[in-house]
Amino acid sequence: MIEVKNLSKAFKGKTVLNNVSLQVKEGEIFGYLGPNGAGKTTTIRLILGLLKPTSGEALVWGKPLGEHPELRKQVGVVLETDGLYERLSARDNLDYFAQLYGVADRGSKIESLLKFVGLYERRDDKLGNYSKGMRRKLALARAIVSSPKVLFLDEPASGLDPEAQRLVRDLILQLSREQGMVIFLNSHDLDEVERICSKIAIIQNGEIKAYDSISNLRSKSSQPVVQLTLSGDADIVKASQFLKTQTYVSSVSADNHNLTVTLNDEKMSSGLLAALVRQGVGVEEARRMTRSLEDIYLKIMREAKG
Amino acid sequence: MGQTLIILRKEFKELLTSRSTVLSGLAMSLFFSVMYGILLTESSKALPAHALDGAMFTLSAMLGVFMSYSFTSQVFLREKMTKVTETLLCAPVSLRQIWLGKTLAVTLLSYAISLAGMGTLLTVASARNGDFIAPSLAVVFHIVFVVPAFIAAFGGLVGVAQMAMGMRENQIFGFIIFLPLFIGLNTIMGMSGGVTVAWWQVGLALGGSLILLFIASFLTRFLSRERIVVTLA
Repeated sequence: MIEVKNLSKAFKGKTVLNNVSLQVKEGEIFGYLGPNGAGKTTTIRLILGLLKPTSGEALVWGKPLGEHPELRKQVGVVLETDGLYERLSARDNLDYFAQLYGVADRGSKIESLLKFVGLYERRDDKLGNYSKGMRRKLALARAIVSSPKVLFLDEPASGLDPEAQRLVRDLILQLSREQGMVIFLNSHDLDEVERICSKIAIIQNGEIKAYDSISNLRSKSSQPVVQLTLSGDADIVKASQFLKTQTYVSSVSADNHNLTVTLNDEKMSSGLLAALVRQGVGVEEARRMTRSLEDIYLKIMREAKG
Repeated sequence: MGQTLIILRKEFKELLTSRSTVLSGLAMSLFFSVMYGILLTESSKALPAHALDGAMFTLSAMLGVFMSYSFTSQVFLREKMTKVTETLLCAPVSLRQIWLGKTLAVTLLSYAISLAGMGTLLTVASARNGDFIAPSLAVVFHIVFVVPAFIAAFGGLVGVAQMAMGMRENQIFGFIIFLPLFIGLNTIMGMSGGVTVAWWQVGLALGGSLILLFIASFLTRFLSRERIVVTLA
């Protein structure tokens, strides 16, 4: 659906995007992560046809959006700024974009959207009287007024309070689940991305450093870690001595009654428990530790910096 | 044409919500028209028709252009400053449709204010003259056809420039345009009463306006989404 092939962009000889390739398929919520100035917004602008690539191509349904206005009817956007008119009311803002996108039965669509984002009571207020969170919600309503099949979101929850962030996140999930919308999410909110995205790409200095599903990135970027809570001090000593002799164990560290075991092989995490029980170690609890997206992101960033 | 009309309606509505801009424009138009009407009828002699013709010929265009200058910054530049342009460029609408819709909105409102000024001028001059003075057919033609074309040409050219230029360049450009406009508006107060308006002058003004309009429309071919996006505030 969205296909970016060897995309590069340079401004006045300075490369800001270098040979980026990625694909977003139907039904996916794709997270595009990276620090400020990494090239996230440039990528979105290139896909939307707002910029022309120096080399490579960015296609949606096999065509460049910039040259196909009829395809742009199927695409909704929330960019860094809200893209709303301060001097118009919420209803007039939605009405304007609904007309431009050729939305049929605008009145009822706008009404239901305003209710959907919780702004119906303030529909006739000018945007000058809106809070940042309200504007962001209205921007999201504006982006989906034409019932697009693809939605591009550039930092949709940026600057919002936790409650509004959660609302935006729920809205995105709802759009994906109920309407099957493909969502391309630019963000540096790792928590947000981790909660809602099925696949991610991490970009730094204009280059893709990682591109996969979050679970694959987890297994690729870290060794499996198991935390064991043992019955007593004797068990700790016994288990430590045993595990240090096993080839599938990378490291063992003890802390009170807990033993943290890093494995060389993902498959051995279940065998580990059985082996300890066979050795007569009293195991009260075993937990498979997962790395957060933040850990993965920071590790990739550190590696990229060398 | 559908997309252009949608943009025209929205811009017109948004301009009207900017009450201070519209009211100050209207006040300026009325002020110059009243002043002009008084100046023309200062002598005790009956006002010669050609004096009013000359005044209406120049003032209608100058007022329209002055209003157009003021409104283009509201319609074209403001959208770039707030970066709403970027979202608009993602919509299924061409750059030419955006330009045309905005230019027409600016023209419509500027022309309406210019007409209000001409109505005031005619009323003041006739009242002070003690008898209604009818403008010549050439001047009526000029006001009905040439003035809107001239305003559209000017607004269109400024609009293209504002879409293509960065914020700093736009500031300099605005200053470069504003100064001669302001001086021009003041200067014609003293001289245009003596101008006799002939059909050839009206024809020349119409031809010039249409050429400028064509140039402005032609220049939109050189606008690109990238050019606009990289020159956002």
